[in-house]
Parts: sequence; structure tokens; C-alpha cells
Amino acid sequence: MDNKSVLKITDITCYLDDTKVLDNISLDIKPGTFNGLIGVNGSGKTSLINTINGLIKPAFGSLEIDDFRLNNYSDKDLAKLIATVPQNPTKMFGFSCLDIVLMGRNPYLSTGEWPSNNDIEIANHSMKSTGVEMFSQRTLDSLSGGEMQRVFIAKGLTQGTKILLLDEPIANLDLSYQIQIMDILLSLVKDRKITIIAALHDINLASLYCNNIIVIDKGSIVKNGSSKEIMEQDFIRNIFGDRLSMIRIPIDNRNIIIPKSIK
Amino acid sequence: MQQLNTYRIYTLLIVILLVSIVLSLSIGSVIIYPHDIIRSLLTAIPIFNYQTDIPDSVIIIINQIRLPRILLAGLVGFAIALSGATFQAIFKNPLADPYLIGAASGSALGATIVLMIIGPMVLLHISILPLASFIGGVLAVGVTVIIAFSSRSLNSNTLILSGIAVGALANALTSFIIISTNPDVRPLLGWLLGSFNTSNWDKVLVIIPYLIISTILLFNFRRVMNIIQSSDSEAKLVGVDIKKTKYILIILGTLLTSVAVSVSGIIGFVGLVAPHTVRLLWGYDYRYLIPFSALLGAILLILADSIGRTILYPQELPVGVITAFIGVPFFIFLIVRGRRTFYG
Repeated sequence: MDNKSVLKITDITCYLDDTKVLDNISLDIKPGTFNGLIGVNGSGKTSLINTINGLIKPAFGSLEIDDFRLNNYSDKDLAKLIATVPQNPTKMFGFSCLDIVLMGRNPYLSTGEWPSNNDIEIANHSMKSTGVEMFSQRTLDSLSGGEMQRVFIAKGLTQGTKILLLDEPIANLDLSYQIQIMDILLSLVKDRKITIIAALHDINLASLYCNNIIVIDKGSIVKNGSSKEIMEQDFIRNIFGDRLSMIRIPIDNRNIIIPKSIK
Repeated sequence: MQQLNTYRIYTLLIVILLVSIVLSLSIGSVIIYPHDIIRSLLTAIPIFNYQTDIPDSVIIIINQIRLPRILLAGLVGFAIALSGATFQAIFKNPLADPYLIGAASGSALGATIVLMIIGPMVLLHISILPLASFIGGVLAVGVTVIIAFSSRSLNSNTLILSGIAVGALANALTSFIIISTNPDVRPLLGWLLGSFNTSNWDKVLVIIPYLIISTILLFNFRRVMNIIQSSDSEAKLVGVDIKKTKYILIILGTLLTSVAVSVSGIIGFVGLVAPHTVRLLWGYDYRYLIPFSALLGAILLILADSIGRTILYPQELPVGVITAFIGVPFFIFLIVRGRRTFYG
């Protein structure tokens, strides 16, 4: 593994309304990796994502992208480095999907400027990457949950950033859509060399898709490693409860989680 | 979703606007036909040196009475509708019109203070009035926003409620100042109700620079207004400096309202009716919502003022009364229709 990192987090501590939500977090993210962020509800996954993208200002610690410290970046400059697909993006009424995806070009446009043909080209390319180019002129309310999510991922891609953050991108989706989205994310990492950090509920899917898994508990990182290192029965039970059990599947000798009660 | 034929809509609105202007020029105490209107207008252009046999009284009615009044009504309608659309964009609330968040009442208070206290300086106040009105409006909206934002449950309701409270206080102060400084309050009360019966060319000319500047700046923000329809955090994530943007838009929206109030008093509902009619007919994209609302606002107010000055002739109804008659049923329609349709 090369030692250059695309995102380096050093000793970050964050408070939200006097509650410590992140406690002394340090993290090195390598370029072109698919990183899964797992942990129980309220463990700090969303806080970590929103600290990386600048929505939450850390009380202590520093963030560096490509060795540049993110201190006084304007919203615009930050949006050229990091794109985020939030947990529940607003289902904007009365705008076409292309309009919404084009909003991802905002960091490159001055206030009075309209998207150029080049911007539209980029938006169309992003929509192709997530397989929603045919919805270009449709509104969001005519799409299914999975289709909407792919539109929002396309909007993030349109920002042209090296890093894409996703907060629970597959929550509330049917299983086939979950797999479709994970396949799309994997292809973005492989084909476009984008670095992805995604908060995920489904530990099995995370372990099957991600190069690297970060386990966060009570605002601290308790483990950071490959899925083989993470998918240890004792460790997983310790974090996610002892109703879980592990079974080995014949693909790469991986472990996946099953309910203990049906083992 | 079908694509809008925007050129057709622009053409349609401009044609309706011109027809409204001609119609409004011809009706009133005497009916003046379009060919006489054109001849009167031609006499006003010096280089033509146009001679005509139509009576001077007709020329005065058209050039000095009706035309400035109609232009003023159109400009005020343009300004209020723009202001309404802007406030709706900032607060993502379809009911946020300049009237409901205290901008109009604050502007009226600012203008009243200048009129009543520094009133004798007649020459001064014609140009200082929009400024005083603006300061009053900004202060009122500022207080409204501060109250709404310091509430733990910030939502549209807290904003509207604090706007109503601030507006009521400003109105009370205005009445207090008027009654305590001048025994003959009728002209000022007439002004407060919203009316164009004191229109003249000076008023038209004094508001035009303010209108041009704020309109140009506002048009620049149309794309960003679309983005802030998502959420503050999503707008920030694509690089919108949300605080700065909102402050600028609040100032521009308030400037437009106060310029309007300074020459016409408080005219309610245009800021609500024009943008919503545009939404119902042509959709939610601020790129078009802004210019279409402005044109429709101009049309609405020219027509409303024409109705106001003719329907009970020789009595004149303040235009604010007419816009309320049109606006209130529309407002109720919006409430009954429900919020589902707006912003998802």
C-alpha cells in the first residue's frame, strides 16, 4: 500500500449542542478506495461525514486533502474537493432531474452565470454513469426511491470531486436497488478512481464491497481495516450485539453475519 | 415534463402589459380613444415638434395625469411581485410575501417618520423617502428574522407569526406618529391604504434607479435561488455561501418593497398573487419565475388601479382595496389547496 493519502484526519473532536459527537478521531483515506463507515445508530457516522464535508466545524483537530489543510476554504472551493450525497436529499418539486444534477456544477459557476454546454455535457455524463440519463427531463416525484438516489449520486459526481461522501445511500431501498447502487459505487471507484466514503447500515454489503471498513462507536473509531479484519465474530458481537453470528462463505473465505438464532 | 416555450410567454405577458396600459390610459373621467392617446404622447416628444388639434385638457390628462400614474402602478407592481418571489425563495415559504414578514409595515413606518417629522423639507423628501422607507423595512425584517431564528422551532410558522407581530407594532407606531403630529390625517391614511392618486413624474423618476439596480442584482441570483430550494445544508454542500446569499436577497427584497411603499403606500397581496399565478401556470424555475412574476405584477397593479379609479366614479377606491378583493380569495385558495403542492 502506498503511503500517500487523499484525506487525512488528525485528532478531530466535535461537539453538537454541547454533546461530544466525535472524540479524537484520526483517519487516513487512500485514493481510489471504497470505504465503508459502519456503526450503530447515533455512533457518529453522520457527524464524521458532515465534519469531512465542512457542515460541522471541529472543535479540535485538522483535516487535510492532498496535503492541503482545510482551514479557510470557502464553501465553493470545498465543494470542488468533496461532494456529498446526504441521507435524505430534498425531493425538489418542479425541477427536472437534469436541473437538479446541474446544481452540482455550482462550485464552478459565478453567481449570475448559467451552466454552459460543457457543464450540461458533464451532467449528462454523470447521469450515464449512474444509469439515469433517460430521466433527464422527468421530475423526481415520477421516480422510484432507487432511481432518485441514482440522480442524487449523479449530482454529486457532477461536482467533479476526487472524494464522494454518501450518508446511508442504500437505506430504505429494496434489496435489488441496494445492490444496484453498491455496484454503481464500486464502478465509480474502479473506473473513475473516485474515493468513496459511505456510511452503511448493512455490514454484510459493506464487507463485500468495501476495500476498507471503519467501525465507529460512541464517537470514536474502534477499528479500521480490511473486511477480513473487521468481520471477526467477537469484535462484531461486541459492537453490534450478541444476537449476531458469523458464517464463512466460499468466496475468498469471507465471513458474513447471520442471526445467531437460525444458525 | 414539457418544456416551456419561454419566448411565447414573454411575448404574451408583454402584449397583455401594453394592452393594459392602453386600456388604462383610455378609461377614466373621460374616455380617450387610442388614436388620441398616441397623438397626445407624440406631443411630449420634443424632437417631433408634433402639432395636433386635440384639446390641451386631453393632452394634460394623458401626459401628466394618467401616464405617470399608470407607469407608477406598473413599476410598483413589478417591484412588489419581484420582492414577493424573492422572499418566497429565501424562506422557502409560499406565503412569505413582503406584507406578511413586516417589510411593508416597516417601510411605511420609515416613510411616515420622514414625512411627518422632517415633512416640511418637501424638496428633500421626494428623494429621501425611498431611503427612509428602506431603512424602516430592513429594520422590521431584521427584527422579524431575529425573532424567528432565535426560536427553538424555526419554521415557516414562526417566521410568519413574528412578521405579523413586528408588522402590527410598526403599524401602531405609524398611526401613533400620524395622529400625534397632524390633526388632518386623511391624506396620510389614504397613502397608507395604498393608492396612486398622488402620482406624478417625479415619483416615477425617483424610484427608477433603485428598481433598475435591485432588479439587475436579483436577476443574477435566479440560479442560486433554485439551489436554495433544496435545503441550507445541501446548498452549502454545492458551494453556496448560504448566509451571505440570504442576507443579500433579504436586502434586495426589502429594497424593492420599500421603494414601492415609499411612493404608493402599502399594497398587499400582489407579492403573493403574481408569483403564485406564475407557479401554477409555468412552474417553479426561478429563472423564469422572477421575470414572469415581475411582468404579471405590473399588469395586475395597472388593472387593479384602473378598476379602483373607475368602478365607483367619481369616487376613487384605493388600489390596496382592489388588490385585497382579488388577493384574499386567492390566499384562501392557496390555503385550501394545501402545502403539498409547494416545494414537495
